[in-house]
Amino acid sequence: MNKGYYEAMFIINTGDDDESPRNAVIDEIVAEVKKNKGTVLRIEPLGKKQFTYSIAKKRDGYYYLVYLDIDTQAIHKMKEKFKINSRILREMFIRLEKEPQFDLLEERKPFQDDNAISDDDTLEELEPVEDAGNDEFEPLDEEEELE
Amino acid sequence: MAYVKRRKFSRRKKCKFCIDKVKMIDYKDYERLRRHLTERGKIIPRRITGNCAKHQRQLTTAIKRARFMALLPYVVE
Repeated sequence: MNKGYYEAMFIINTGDDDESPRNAVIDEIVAEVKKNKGTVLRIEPLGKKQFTYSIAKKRDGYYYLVYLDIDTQAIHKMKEKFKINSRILREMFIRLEKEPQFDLLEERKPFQDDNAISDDDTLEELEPVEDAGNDEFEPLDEEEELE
Repeated sequence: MAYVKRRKFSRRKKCKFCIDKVKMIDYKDYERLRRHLTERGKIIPRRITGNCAKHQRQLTTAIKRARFMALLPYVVE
């Protein structure tokens, strides 16, 4: 058995104002994890967010983070299951190097629903890149390139 | 034709992630990752941004993960 800690992200698209159908999907996920002898460490709803591109003709969905401690082999099995489920638009599993420390984690703020790009002042230090669709970037001086 | 050395006055850019002491670049922090994309949604090379190699490697995987989860665009038309 090759156990590991995983961070899973799901996009669920059911129920708008009503939370219960979404919770049902989450329960399904938890049940699936239990069936594969894993443990759910934490579930974090990240709220509703607009997609940057449409997934299955949907424009937005509800994001959930699930932290797991599960066998690596089971992840593949679970993925197949979740792919069939039409209410789960996306699922992604990322292996964590060490056990997640939740008490040390600062409270993560949920995603904002607006898709507006916030032009922060931090942008100013990056040089503006003119991007006219070509792959050419302005060449730097040879000296800098060698550095 | 004589080669004229083009000398542009520029300060050495420093890796933004090193300054902030970011250990692991998180794909969920898409607002931050967006600053490393061009208007068309392409990843800005590190010769422009001045990122260090280690963080640029982390950055590209983080951007690709965020793209899959529709947090960042693949292309902007």
